[in-house]
Amino acid sequence: MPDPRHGNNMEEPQKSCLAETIAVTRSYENGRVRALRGVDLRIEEGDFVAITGSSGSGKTTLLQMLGGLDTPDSGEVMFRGQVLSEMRDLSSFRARRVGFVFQSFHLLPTLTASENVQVPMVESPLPMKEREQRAIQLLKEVGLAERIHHRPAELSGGERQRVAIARSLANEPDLLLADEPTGNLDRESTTMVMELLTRIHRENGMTLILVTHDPSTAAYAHRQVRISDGLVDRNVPNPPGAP
Amino acid sequence: MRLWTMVSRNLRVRRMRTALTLLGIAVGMMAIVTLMGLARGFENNWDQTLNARGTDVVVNRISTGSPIPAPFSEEVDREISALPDIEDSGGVLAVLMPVENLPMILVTSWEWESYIWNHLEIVEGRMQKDGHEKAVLLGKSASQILRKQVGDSLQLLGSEFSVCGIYESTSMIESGAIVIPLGVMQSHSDNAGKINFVNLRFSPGVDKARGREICDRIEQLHSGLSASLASEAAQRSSTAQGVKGMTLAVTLLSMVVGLASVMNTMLMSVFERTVEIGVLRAIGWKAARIRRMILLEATLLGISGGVLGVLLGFLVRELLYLFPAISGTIRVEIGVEAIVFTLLFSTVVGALSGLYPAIRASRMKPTVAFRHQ
Ligand SMILES: Nc1ncnc2c1ncn2[C@@H]1O[C@H](COP(=O)(O)OP(=O)(O)OP(=O)(O)O)[C@@H](O)[C@H]1O
Ligand SMILES: [Mg+2]
Repeated sequence: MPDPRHGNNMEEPQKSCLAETIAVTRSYENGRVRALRGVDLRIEEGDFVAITGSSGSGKTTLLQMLGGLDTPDSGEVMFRGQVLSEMRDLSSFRARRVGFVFQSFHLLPTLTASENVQVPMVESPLPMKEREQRAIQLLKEVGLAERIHHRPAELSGGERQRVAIARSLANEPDLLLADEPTGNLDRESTTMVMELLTRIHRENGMTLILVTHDPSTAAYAHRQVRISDGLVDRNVPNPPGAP
Repeated sequence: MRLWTMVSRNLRVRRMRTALTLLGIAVGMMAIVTLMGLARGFENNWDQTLNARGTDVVVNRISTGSPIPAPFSEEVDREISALPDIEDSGGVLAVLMPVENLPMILVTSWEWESYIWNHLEIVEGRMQKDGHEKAVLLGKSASQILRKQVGDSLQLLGSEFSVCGIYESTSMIESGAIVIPLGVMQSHSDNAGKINFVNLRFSPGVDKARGREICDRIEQLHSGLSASLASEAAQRSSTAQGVKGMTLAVTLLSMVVGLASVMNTMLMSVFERTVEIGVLRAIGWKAARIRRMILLEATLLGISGGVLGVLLGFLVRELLYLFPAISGTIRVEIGVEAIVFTLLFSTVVGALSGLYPAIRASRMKPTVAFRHQ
């Protein structure tokens, strides 16, 4: 008799697929630079994936495909069984389904932390007051309750990245994409940001894909995908318990 | 946080650039509002003047350009007064000229014994004894600007006149003018037998429609004559037409300057924000919202430039009024419709200048968000 408190999730053999790339290619400069050469990758609901690979191997290009920022030359990107290239409005797909975290934070310098978190909500039907409350709530969750009215210039790198993470969560996305989220941070801030991302993944069941070249950062993930020269080179689960 | 918050912050962050752009629009808007105020002030002044005299119709030669129309024979006055339904008429010869320390003053002369003299209220001294006395009446503000009292002498038309009296008039034009008998003016200005206006009043009971008919009759007397009802004379006068032409020219010019300056600023600002706009697109903003943001910024620049321009217009007016020669004769009446027009105009100019930058901005790629790390 299974314990009802655990449900039967623990034994579920095959999780459902959230996002998938099928034979995706993308080249630049009239085909002279082949950034992706037929990538097949399946991301499951609730997964936490680290994408690694050498510089220029196509990691960022792949992330852009998954996030609906760019479209493949050939092949398909699927999200919950829907083909991205057939969606009428990719910007509303991005707004509702995907959260983005960038290496250099990309906060708007003229806005306060709370206002930055509200930027993605501009497209949502929530009334003003609720957006504000949600922004403050999110900032509390990333440990910035004291920094709500600070401008990015008044925040440390780690704090800025936490504001950016709060912003990425604003519209309750299904998928969080982060490109070198700790690339501009010192060791201490890196640990803090990675623990925050891990917590978000664990508590919200959020699917997370992060690009990194740092093995200790990649170790936080449950699965590592290595890209080499525009192709998936290796796709293996991380040993449990790391880092 | 609203779109509005971002828009106004974007403009406030680049303070110097925003200020210079605003100035670029505001100068044009100031010119528009001031010129419109001048035209209106002039028209009201004229209305007041004709009202004070009890004049129903002004006749002059059609002239373009010069503020004072060209002279014609005083015979015309006699022909007009012979027409039916005309109670009284009087010839006028008026010139604008420098007098003593003043660069420009209105010197006007009226047919002696015509009704025009009746409305003057002498507050000091007396009227001229007869139509030949070489003496001047000064309007109250003219006497102040010229610093002349009754009994002083005045250099006028190349000879010496004495000041015999000072009058008050509800008309500002007249209050700032010098009045002499027509005959004296004609003989001292080489204009024997010439006048450049006829003022006339109707017999009682003439309505506006009949008034128009009389005007048409007068215009048929001689080609090149223009007869206007008092209520329309100001608008038809060459000065008013001249100011209106100038207003139009300045309006077009400020449109071009405003468009160029706002568009330049907005394009610069859009290209500077390539990454920022890309990030907004990446995190889900639609192209339409980016367009709206840029359009709103440009429109806000336009409105603010308009507001600043109107304020500058009032400032310029006060500066002009610091000169007694101007404050005694010229009114800048900035009416609600001039303000509304200027604000609407600058808003439209701002919005138009934002169109192209907005389109450029909305075409920016969201991929730059990941590329500019
Ligand atoms: N807009 C572009 N125009 C031309 N070439 C591009 C463009 N974007 C990417 N590339 C090229 O595509 C290849 C893959 O780039 P991508 O940014 O995906 O690599 P990456 O794995 O993210 O590298 P890094 O670790 O340095 O960020 C590189 O050779 C890059 O130069
Ligand atoms: Mg990269």
